[in-house]
Order: sequence, then structure tokens, then C-alpha cells
Amino acid sequence: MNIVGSRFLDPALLAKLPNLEIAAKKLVKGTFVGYHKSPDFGYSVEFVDHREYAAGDDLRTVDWRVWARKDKYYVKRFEMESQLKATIVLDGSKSMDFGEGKLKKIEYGSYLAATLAYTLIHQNDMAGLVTFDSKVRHYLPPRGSRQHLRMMLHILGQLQPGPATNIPAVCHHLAETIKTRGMIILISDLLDDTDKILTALQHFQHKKHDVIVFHLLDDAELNLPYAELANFRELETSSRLAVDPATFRATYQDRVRAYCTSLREGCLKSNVDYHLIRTSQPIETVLSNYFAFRARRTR
Amino acid sequence: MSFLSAAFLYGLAAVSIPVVIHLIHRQRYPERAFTTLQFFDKTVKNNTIQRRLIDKVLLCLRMLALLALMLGLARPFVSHGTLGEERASIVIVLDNSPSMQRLRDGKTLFERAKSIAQTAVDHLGPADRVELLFTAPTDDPTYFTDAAQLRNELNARAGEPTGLWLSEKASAKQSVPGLTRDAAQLETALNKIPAGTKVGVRGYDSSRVQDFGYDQTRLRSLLAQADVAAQPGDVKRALAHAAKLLRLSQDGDKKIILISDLQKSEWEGDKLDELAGVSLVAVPIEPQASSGANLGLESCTVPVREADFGQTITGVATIRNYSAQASDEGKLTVHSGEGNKPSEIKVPVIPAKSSLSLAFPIQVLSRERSLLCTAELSSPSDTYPYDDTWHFQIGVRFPVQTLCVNGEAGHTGADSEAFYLVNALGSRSSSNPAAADAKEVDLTEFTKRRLTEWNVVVLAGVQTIDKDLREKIRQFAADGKGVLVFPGANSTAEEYNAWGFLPAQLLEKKTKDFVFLKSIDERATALSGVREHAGAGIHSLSTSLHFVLQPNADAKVLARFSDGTPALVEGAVGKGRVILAATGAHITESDWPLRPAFVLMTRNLVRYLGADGRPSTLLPDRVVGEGAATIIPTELASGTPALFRLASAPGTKPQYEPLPWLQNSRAVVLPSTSRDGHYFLSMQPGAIEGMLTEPALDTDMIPISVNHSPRESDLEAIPVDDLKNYLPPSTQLTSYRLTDNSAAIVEALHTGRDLWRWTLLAALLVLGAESLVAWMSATEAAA
Repeated sequence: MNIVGSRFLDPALLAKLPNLEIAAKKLVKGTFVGYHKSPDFGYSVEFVDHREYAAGDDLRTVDWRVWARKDKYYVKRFEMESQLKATIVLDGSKSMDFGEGKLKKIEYGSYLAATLAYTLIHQNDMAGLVTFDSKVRHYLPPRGSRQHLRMMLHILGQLQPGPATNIPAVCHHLAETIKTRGMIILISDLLDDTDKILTALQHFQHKKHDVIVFHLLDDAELNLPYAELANFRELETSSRLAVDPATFRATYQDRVRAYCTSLREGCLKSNVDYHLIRTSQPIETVLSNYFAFRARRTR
Repeated sequence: MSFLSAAFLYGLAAVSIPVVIHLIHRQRYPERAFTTLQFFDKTVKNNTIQRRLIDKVLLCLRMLALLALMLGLARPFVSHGTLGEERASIVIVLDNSPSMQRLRDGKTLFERAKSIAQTAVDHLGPADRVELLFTAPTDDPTYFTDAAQLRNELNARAGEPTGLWLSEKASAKQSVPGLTRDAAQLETALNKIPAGTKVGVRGYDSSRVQDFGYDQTRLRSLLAQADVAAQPGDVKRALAHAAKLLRLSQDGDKKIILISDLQKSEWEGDKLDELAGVSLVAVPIEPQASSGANLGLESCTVPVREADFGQTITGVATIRNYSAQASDEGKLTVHSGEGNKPSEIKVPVIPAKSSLSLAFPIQVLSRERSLLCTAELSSPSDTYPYDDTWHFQIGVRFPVQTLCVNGEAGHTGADSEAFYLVNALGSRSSSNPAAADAKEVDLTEFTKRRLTEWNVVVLAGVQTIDKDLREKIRQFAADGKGVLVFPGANSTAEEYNAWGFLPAQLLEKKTKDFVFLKSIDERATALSGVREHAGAGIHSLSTSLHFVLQPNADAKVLARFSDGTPALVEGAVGKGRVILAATGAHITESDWPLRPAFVLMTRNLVRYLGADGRPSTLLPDRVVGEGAATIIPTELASGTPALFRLASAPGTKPQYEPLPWLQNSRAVVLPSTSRDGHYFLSMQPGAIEGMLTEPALDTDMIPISVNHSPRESDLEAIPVDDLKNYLPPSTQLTSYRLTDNSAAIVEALHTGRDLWRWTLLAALLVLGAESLVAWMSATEAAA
């Protein structure tokens, strides 16, 4: 059966992303054993420390060498390696339904989400998907199966732009909803109140989530390349404003740049990975660069 | 500031076009969907202020460009400043009427006027249009030596009757066309004329000018040759023509410069509506204060148009003193033909503004059929000779050689049938000489006589004539002579009806009915003037014996009796005429010989029959400058199509012109004559229009007397300040009092500047600025 959103999982694109892995920056908690560090102790090969035996401990963990020397029962504790539970939060608002290039932002975000999900599942992690506008439209908890990936693709294929966006509210809601610490990948144009967005992101941080923000913007949004004076209609509110791009371009660019900078700096303060993506950039390039950057930071 | 093409000011409405486009454009900004407006200023004004500013600047520049363009097309004209160009269109109206020949400080007014006009022409720039018009038309040739100028002049006259004129020496070698419309003929003649020959071009008058331009050389030539005309000036026509010419020009400085003595008589009448809105610069030329009265011959009249040879008639000359001071004594000299001693009459003092009639005698002694007379007035204080001459003519009637045949043999003296006829034809008094040189013969002698020396044969009371004599009389009439027949008491209808040359059949003789002459055909030449002079006296021509006449088909009844039967019947025999009376010419047959009307009628009939077929050749007198059709007697025009020519008086240089002939009205159109005097109309039956030749010597020459116009006699001038009263209110009148310098006229030539080039340049500059701003704006938008 053909999946509606399978177009977002381009084999040619995936072929260009060999051996790339998403590494969790923080400790992640998973049900299944993975290769990401977990806050729990488990059965990995990495020794952590000893503690005195208590009733109920597994006798297999007793370090008999220590008993031989000190005649006390000590158990050995090893690091727990857990699966990564990544939740991809994709902005499906109307402002994402914009693009002067080949892809609209929402399409670009879908490609990005699908590719990330595939990558995560491919590395035996779990990926979930949240789409939202003013509230959450779809919530698919992280799973690691291929069936789950297909479901995600299906949701992406069915995704229609919502009327408006409310990123802070959605983020707060998700922060309260997602109990297990994991990775939150927010793909959005972040066209909302900056302070509130940053506060919402801090909420994720507070919940020990590893937060990655892919800030999607079209080149037209960054540069305002138009020449003619036009009535600009805001996609979400349909409000109009006559603007002469030619004379206002520089001011506009300064303002957008300041906006992005404030987001970047806010994210930096909150230890959130912020990454500005232009929809004109090839996805494989964006992901390659980001994965490499992520890998460097993890080391 | 005024506008020369004010109609273009309606184009200022176009200034609204950019505004409309701007408004429409503003309403139609394209809508563009965008993610967020949060980075824009919240007010439209802030977002578009620069573009709006640019738009407004562009709008203003476009409006300004259109404004300047329309103003430029409307041709602003300012009277001050140094910007702009001086372009004047000037028509100089030069008064060349006879009154301009008066003197001031030894020079005529016309010479002074020419000098001023010359100064004006000399100070015109090459961009100025100028034309010279004269108030009095002249047909004097304008001479050219330069072939190019000559051709230009001919081209300017294309379509009008134009003639070439060579000096006598040159014309002896080269024949040139007179007045013709055939341009090819003129060109052919022109090509044959050697280079450098002085060639004159002439037409009917100078009003031919239909356009004017920049050929100031031609005007200088025209000015140099200009002279005072003999025709009266028509300053109104010249000014109207000048205004018409000015309307052809689009220049700002358009004015008429009138250089004239402002003779009042030329300005009276309707106002010149054609001068409405026209700028008129009046330059009055005033004569020196007159030292004497202005006398003029108002008319010379004679009581009769025709007089018998040897008759002495009394003419009346009317002399008017036009001035406000009494005249000095003068002299009136009347010339009545060559060889006759002129009559000199003393002219007494004539009070101011009054006239005097003087009688003068003229003895009609002339070998020609018209006696040409000229009256000349001379007064020591009269310095204006224009109106001191009057030309007139008197038709001369020579006695008709008449042979009166007494038909009653043995009757002599008062019993002769021809007695009363001979008596009627003889001299009546010194003022009424013999109408005929009449001789009475009886029938026997008449039979023997040769008739070649006689013009008229009167058969009175003839009873019978033989066949040979009938043929002799018929042949006499057929040769162009006249026969007048009065039957007698013993005449019989049978005998008369057998003659064969009579214009009517005699039906019966009535001896008891008393009838009188009731009507005469006044249109018949044979009896012209009889009713006028005899009045009701024709009714006294009664008789109790008359024949009832039945006119032949081609005969004409000249008079009828009270019973309606013809009394006089005229018929043609060959070239001659025969008139048959219905009653006798002796008191035994009728009362006719006893009545004065009989004398008048008989003399008329004999004169008519003895006129050798030639009618009276007296044509109406004319006035200089007057052109009109003149009816020519049918007999003269019998040879049409004919070539009529008008020649000036003997003693002056002859000028001949082919004249148009109006076939329907049987009239010849006489052109206006430029000089007074005696002119001669000649006819060449069968001739065709072409190269002019002088009339043959044997051609009939009909004299026409042409006199000065009385309009030019009154020299009262309009004060220049009052001239506005004769002009429409909208005429812009400027006047200059010129004495000896004409510097003021130079200042009057250019009074403003045309700014259209500068305004259009401003429009171009604004357009350039608009393009620059638009380009910069577009470049910035593209960046």
C-alpha cells in the first residue's frame, strides 16, 4: 500500500546520508537498551561504582573480589545504555505554508521530519511526531518500529496547514505531556513571541529534554527580495499592510536578523540547539552539517 | 503674458492624466501573501513613505512636464524680459492715395511714408515676417532684374491675370505676354528674355497678396518703385486685407503699421470689424499747414450727351472749396479737342466749405465722333492738383447727306411734298444746327442722279417709280444707306406694295378717320430721345389721311396711331434700313409738319438712317479705380467673340489689356483704371486671347472718360487720438507722432518675446529629471 507521505522519504536523499547518527546530548531514558547514556544503572560494560549490598539485589552483581578482601558484600554498578526517544514537533501552521523556492516551509519541514525519523528508527531509537498549529493536531508517541515510521509518514502526507500558530502553548503542553526525558526536535518558523517561545523551550529543558530547534525560514522571509510596492497579506491573520520592499528592505533584514539572533542567543542560554535553516538549502547538506556538529558536541 | 495658441491651454486638462494614473495605480497595489507582518512597521505610511515620496515627486514632475509642454504649445508671449525670441509679423499698410502727394518741407507725404516704411523693413530681423500693402491699388508694373525674384513674383501671382512688361527698347526685340493666366506662356517668354533685362510684372492690383513671408528684398524693391496712385485709397480694404494676412501668422508680435495721412473720407462708414483684436500702429503723416484753400472740380456736365457738329453748347462746372478758408481767385480752362481754342473762365472767390457752379461754352467742332474735353482748374493757393481736372466727352453728330425727293411734279416751294421735311432737317438756331445737309429734288432729277454721295433718301409723296428706279433705291439701301418714305395723298397701295423694299404692305387708305400718334417704341434707336424731349407733344401728331400698314415679318413697328395701326415701320434691306410712314409729310395730308414733335422725330429718323449702321458710341463716364461691367451696344458686339482692349489716352504710354466679355449680358468688363483721363475701348472681332498687339488703326475706338474720385478731394484728416472711434473696441491702437525721425517706429516693431522654445525646453528638462528619478527608483528597487 502506498503511503501518502512516502514522498517525504526520498531514497536519493537518504542515500546521501550514510552512517549518520543522531547522538543524544543528554542522558536519555528508554524502555529498551540502546546505545545512549541513561540515568539508570544497567548492564552495560561501563563500570560506574560499588555500593553495599542490600536485600533484594541481584546476587550476580555482587563483587566477590571485594568480599574476599573486605569481607563485606558489595555490588558493582554499571552504566545503563538506553534507547533515545525523540519527539519531532513540526509546526503545521499557515505561516509554514509559504515558500518562494521549490519547497514550502511545511514541505521542507516534512522532509526534514521524515528524514530524522527514519534516521532515528534506523539507529534503533524511537521517534515520535507531533504536528501542531494553535494546538496539537497529531501526537504520535515515540516508537522504534518501521510500522511506526509509516504512520509518521502518513501523518506528514495528510498534513494540512492550520489557521494559526501558538508555539509557546503547544510547547508547554508537550513539556507536561512527554514524561520520559528524551529529545525534542522542534521544526518551526518560530513566528511568534520570542520570549514566550524561549520560555516554552526552557520548560522542555526543565523536564530534562534534549531540545533541538530547527528554525525554518524561506529566503524571501530573510531577504524580502520583492521590488514592487504591494499589499502584504499575513497568511495566518489575513491582515494587510502596504509595504514598499525596495525602501524597507534594509530595515526588514535588520529586524529579521535581530529576531534570529535573539532566538539564537536565547536558545544558547537555555542550552537549546538552535539551527537556522533556509529552505533553499539542500536537506542532506543541512542534516549532514548538523549531525556532524552534533557529533562534535557530544564528544 | 498672453498665449498665441490659447486653444492648446485646453490641453492643460492633460495634467490630470498623471494624477488619475497615480490614483488608479495606487488603488491597484498587487497583493502578496507573506508569513508575517511583524517585521514591518504597523502603519502603511511608514512602510511606503519613501516610495510615496518618490511617487509624488514623479507625479509632480510629470504634471510639471505636461504643464510645460502644454504651455509651450500654447506659446506664451511676454511683453517684458530678455528670455525668448523676438519674432514679429508685420504688415505695413502704406497710404499711396493721391492725397499723399501733398508736400511737407519740400518732400511729398508719400516720400516720407516710404522712408518710414523703409526704416521699418531695415530694422526687421530675418525671422520676422513682413508684407507691404498699399491703400490704393496700382497696376503699375513692378520691375525685377534678378531672375529668381522675378520667378518668385510670378509664382506668387499664379492663377491671376499676370503680364510681363519690358522697356520700349527691349520690347522691340522681344514679345512678351500681356495679362494671361497661362503660366507656361509666361515661362516660355521668360526663357527668351536675356539675363539682366529689366522685366516688369503687372496684374490688376496689389491686393493679390495671399500670404506673406520673409522676403524683405522684394519689399525693398517694391518700396523703391512705389509711387502715389491716381486711384482713391481704400484704407479699410487694405487694413482688412492686412488683418487677414496677420491671421495666417502664429507669431506673437503681430501688428499692422499704418502710415497714412488719415484722410477722414476714407474712414467714414462702418467700423472695421476685421480689425477686432488686432494691434494697429498708426503713424500719421501730416502735411504742412496749408497756405490756401483746397479747391476741387466736383463735376463738369453738359446738357446733352450728343451735339450736332458746329453746335455751341453750354457746360456747367461745379467747383468746391473743401477747406475751411475762402479760396483765392482762379481760372477754369476747358479744352475741347485739338485745334480748338480753350475756353477760359475766371473763378471767383469761393467761401469756405461751399461750392460754385460756372457755365462755360463749348463749340462742337471735331472730326471725330466724340469731342474729348478736359476742364482744368487752377488757383494760386491750391496745392492739391489731384482733383483739379475733369474729363468729359460730347458725342458729335455730323449732318447727314440727305436727298429729299418731291413726288408731286410741279409742286414747288411750300407746295412741295418735301418742303416741310427739308425745313425740319435744316438749321433751327445756332444752338440747334442742321441735322442733315438736305437737298430737294424732283423725281425726274432723282432718276438721273448718282446716289453714292448721299446717305439718306427721303421719298415724299412719290406716286410711282419704275422698275429701274426701284432697283436703284433697293440697292442704295442694301449698301448700308437709309430710305425714309412718306406716301402722298395721291399714292396708291398697289403701287407701293409693288416696290419690294418697303417694310410693310399698304392695305387701304383711310381719309376720313382722324387719328393721332399714340405711342412710340422708346427702345428703338431711331426714336430714342423723342419722347424725352417731345413729351406729350407726340399726341399732337394727328392726321385724317393715313394708310393701314401691315408690317412684314422682319419689320419693326416704331410708332402706332390711336386706332392701333402702325404709324412708322422699320425694315432692313441688306446692310441698310427703310422706314415707312403711314401718312404724308405735307400739311395737305396731315398735321404732322405743323407740330414741333415732327421736327424732332424727322431729325432723329434721318440721323438714325444716316448713321451708316454705326450706333452711338458714348459710354458712361467712370471714376478712377472703379471696375465694372459696361454694356456694349448690340451692334458693336456683333462680331463677338471679340477682343476688347483698353488703352490710355493719346499722348501717354499706351497700355492694352484683353477684357473679358460677358456673352449673356452682352457687356464688357472694364478693369479699374489707375489714372484719370480719356481711355479708348477698341474691338477686334474674332480675335483670340494671346500675345497682345496694338489695335489696328481702323479699329473702332470708343472713348471713355475717367475722372478722379471725389472721395479723395476732401483732405480733412482724423486726429490720431480720435482714430479709435473708427475702430472696434478690441483693436489695440498705438500711435506715433513722427516728425523727422522714425526711431519710434523701430521700437514698435518688437514689443514682446515668444517663450515657446524655452517652455518646451523646460518640459524636456523636467521629463529628463522625471526619467532620472524613475530610473534611480527602479534601480534601487531592483537592488
